[in-house]
Amino acid sequence: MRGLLLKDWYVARKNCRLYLAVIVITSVLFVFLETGAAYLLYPILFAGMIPIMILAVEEKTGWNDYSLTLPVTRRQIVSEKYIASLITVGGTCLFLALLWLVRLLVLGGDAYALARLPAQLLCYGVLIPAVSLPPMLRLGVEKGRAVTMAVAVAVALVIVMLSMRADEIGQPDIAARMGWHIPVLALIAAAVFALSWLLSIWLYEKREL
Amino acid sequence: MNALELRGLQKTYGDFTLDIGELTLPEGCVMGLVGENGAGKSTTIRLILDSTRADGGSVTVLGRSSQEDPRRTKAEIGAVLDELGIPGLTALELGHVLENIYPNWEAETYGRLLQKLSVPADKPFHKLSQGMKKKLGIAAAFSHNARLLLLDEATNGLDPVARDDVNEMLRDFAAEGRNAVLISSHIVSDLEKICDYIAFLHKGRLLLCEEKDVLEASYGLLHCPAARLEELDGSAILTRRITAFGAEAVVRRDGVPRGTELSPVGIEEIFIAMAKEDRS
Repeated sequence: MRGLLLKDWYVARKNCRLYLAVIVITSVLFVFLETGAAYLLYPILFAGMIPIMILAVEEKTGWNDYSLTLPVTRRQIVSEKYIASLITVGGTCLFLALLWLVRLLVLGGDAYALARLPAQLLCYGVLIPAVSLPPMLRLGVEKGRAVTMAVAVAVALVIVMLSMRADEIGQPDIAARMGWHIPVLALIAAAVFALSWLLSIWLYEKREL
Repeated sequence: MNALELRGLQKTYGDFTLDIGELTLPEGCVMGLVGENGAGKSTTIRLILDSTRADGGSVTVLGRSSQEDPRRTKAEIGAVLDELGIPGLTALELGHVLENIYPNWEAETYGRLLQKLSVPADKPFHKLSQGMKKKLGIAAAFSHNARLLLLDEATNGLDPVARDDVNEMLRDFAAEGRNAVLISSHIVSDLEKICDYIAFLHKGRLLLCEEKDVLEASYGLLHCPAARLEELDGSAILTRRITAFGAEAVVRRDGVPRGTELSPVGIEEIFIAMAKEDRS
């Protein structure tokens, strides 16, 4: 597992520099410009896409074939992607939390958001790989992308509909407005992530490479 | 113990079926897998690695079923595929990754082989030439105390000096007693130099799997007048070529009259003859 994660780090370092730059820049901008918490989904979105980007590079270069000559199981190959997702999304949430703390100390603001927001963003963030990885691991990145796009459009429509309610634009507690509490959101996100993980293992073990 | 045993191995892709009846690679030996393009050589190697699921039959690697503890089995297999898929890593980075994957990784051996094969340590994989990529794969395959090497067209694209170095490495590797090599290649002349066993794969079927010396002793090249060729038992003749100067035929030695003068025939000629015989 360590070797696979190290490989992902090397690949991300070379191929995802733009993503990392976007994460840093948008995180700083949207924390300090008080644009509203919904905009913080941008860096989270990019963080969630890094493992997918790495998967695309691997597929293009033929790593999928080579990896099966190594003493790693398909289960480990899939699990590594999910662990990488937790690292990228979790790391970004931690970064956002640190920025929010700096903002609190320098500019003041909603201290409660410091506790609430990163947890909420983590929950939303893990949904991106949870939705994307199963079709991509089963069908390949190109075909899987079509499935992911369909889901992303559906999710975006829901977010747009929510955002159209004037009193909800820019509110950090969209989940609370929907009547969900963070623990419930966390439970749903964890369940979706875990089911996605198991599904991906099952699908990848069936895949003919 | 045999290093590799394939029994009744089958795989079907659309209108192509791979059917390996019986293939045995003893320890301490090198086996060459010869076949035309699309014969199923790469598929055979992928089935051994369990990268592709077989439709039937069994694969036994180093005394274990390929599906029993695959991680342990693959830790003892060094594989070099036709296309090596390394996502932009340098040789150095690949070494660090494999060090954390293989339990018996030997960083010193890896470094030494990179130097010996002149592979640059800090150049991204996609910037290496085709030959360099193969050499990198070979260096990695030799650097984790493998007992079985599976090489799929691994020496194709190498310069003659590098090919000679690699052939020597393969001979030394197999000579260590408990090791074995299965190598597929179009460069039959290389296989003739290093192989103990030869397996012929033609359109998915294993035509034969035999000791190279026995194979070479079983067939010969007959040069004679065309009329004399007609007198021979037809089943002894694999291929024939009639020219204005006479006939040339690859024949089975046990099918021609005693005392018939036959020239030695190479593995490539035997394979072509068998493939054409099968085709007709």
